[in-house]
Amino acid sequence: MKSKGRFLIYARDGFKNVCNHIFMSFSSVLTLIITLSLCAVFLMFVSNTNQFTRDIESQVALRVEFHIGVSDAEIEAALAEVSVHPLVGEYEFRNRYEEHARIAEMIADGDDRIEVFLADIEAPLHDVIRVEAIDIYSLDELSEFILNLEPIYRVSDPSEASEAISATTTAIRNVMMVFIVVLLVLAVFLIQNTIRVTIYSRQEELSIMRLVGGSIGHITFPFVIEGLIIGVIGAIVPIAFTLVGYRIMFNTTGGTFAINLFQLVEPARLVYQVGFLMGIISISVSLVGSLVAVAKYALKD
Amino acid sequence: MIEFTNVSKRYPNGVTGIHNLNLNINKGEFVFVIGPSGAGKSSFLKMISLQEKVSAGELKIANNDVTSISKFKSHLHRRKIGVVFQDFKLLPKLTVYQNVAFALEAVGLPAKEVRKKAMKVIYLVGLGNKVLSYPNQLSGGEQQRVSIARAIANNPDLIIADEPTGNLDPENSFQILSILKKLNEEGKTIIMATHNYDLIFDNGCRVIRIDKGAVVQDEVMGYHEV
Ligand SMILES: Nc1ncnc2c1ncn2[C@@H]1O[C@H](COP(=O)(O)OP(=O)(O)OP(=O)(O)O)[C@@H](O)[C@H]1O
Ligand SMILES: [Mg+2]
Repeated sequence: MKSKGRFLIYARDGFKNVCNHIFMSFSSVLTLIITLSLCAVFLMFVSNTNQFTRDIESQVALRVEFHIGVSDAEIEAALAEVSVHPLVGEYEFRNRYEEHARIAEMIADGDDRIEVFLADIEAPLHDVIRVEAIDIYSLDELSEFILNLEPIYRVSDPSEASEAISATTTAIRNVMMVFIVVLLVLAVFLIQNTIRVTIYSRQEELSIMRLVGGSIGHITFPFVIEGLIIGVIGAIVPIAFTLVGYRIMFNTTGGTFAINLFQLVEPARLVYQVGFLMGIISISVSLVGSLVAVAKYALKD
Repeated sequence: MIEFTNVSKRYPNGVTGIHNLNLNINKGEFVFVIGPSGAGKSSFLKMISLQEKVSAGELKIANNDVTSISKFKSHLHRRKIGVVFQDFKLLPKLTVYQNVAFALEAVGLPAKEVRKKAMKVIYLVGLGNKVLSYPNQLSGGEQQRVSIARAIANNPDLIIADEPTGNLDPENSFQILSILKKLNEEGKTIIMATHNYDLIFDNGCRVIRIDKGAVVQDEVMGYHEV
């Protein structure tokens, strides 16, 4: 009963603080909205590019060719090494007869990829392994490892296109990450500043409260509430943006993006996860901001 | 109740407020603190009300060493001390009732008790008919009575008043003093700094004279001697 009454007083004061400094509160909320919306775009971008690269990976495995005339025992040994390597996803051995049959089939089917493939092929055909790396970023390292195995003649380069895509997505990812971190720091700073101004404007009141026996915790709690209110308001818009925006994008693009190869991740689960994360980030950022302001006040007094 | 042992107060700018003070004040005393401006009266009182930290020596209040008390604990001591200022320090946007209730809320009392205690002390200082007035609608004397009501709302054992009549005319000054006197008769310890020598009881009370940060006189005296 008692703590409930107290909490109402805190909530009332916190709300009053927000209203009394409506413009500063508004700028904090706005920063949060911008930051979190970018975060949402970023998170959805990342989960989709993860899907893209997964799509690419299954198509750009390494093509490993053995020397002509290696023994079965040597092939067995090489396969054993490949199978236990931590960067290897799936792999498949095809001897030269199977490889010949596959090429013949691709020609018969009029497969697009055959042009690229034929340009790189050597006669006579070699025994090959098709090796998928666990992710696109491990291809180079894996390629080098396999090339150093005794019976290996050569390893085909991973597709340049896939490398370019993964390099671009990585670059965009990094830039966005830096940008968001900067924005988050800015949001913390702005909220901290808003609350410091509120504390400052209520300095007289606070010093009287201190004088009549209010504890530091008691008199600063409304400011933490103020931060929380800013955080909650700041989270609502980006969450709505996430829930509605992604669905609209998914529906208008029909679930594919840029190239038909890449499927967008289904909205339902992703959107709720991202929305939930937005809420957590918003509230943490505003809590950190208000706690910094409160700590500064408490340590100064 | 209050024990100063070799207490000094130096401000960060190097000015000495109080120098090497040794003094005891007992429970139930009414003590006047006098002395010229800048003598250190406020410095002395502010150390007791924990508004200023002691720079050297030892200060005990109600058998607790508060010399270097943490600001996260000081509120527990402040609740046992009522403070009254020359400039009242009322919040202008709050009514008489709210100004008093605010002090009770600050210590976390439940709403029902806040109401009961606030009304009790407001009637005690004779402002029952001004409960809903704002400070700027009150005379100086009435404002000071509100601040006394606020100071005693938490029922402290000790009341510190720093020139409480400094802004008041003689009539209001005597009224404030009589309230303090009454509180003293109820057993509260009162320490009051003043420049208004007319107020000092002529029936013998303790007067501490401070000059240049040191006690230069400390005795029970009558009006004619001051
Ligand atoms: N916060 C402060 N910072 C620096 N010096 C201070 C501070 N407060 C007081 N002083 C100095 O300490 C000395 C004592 O001041 P104090 O306020 O205790 O005097 P006082 O006896 O209360 O004077 P008055 O009768 O004018 O109120 C003075 O020299 C004053 O300038
Ligand atoms: Mg003074």
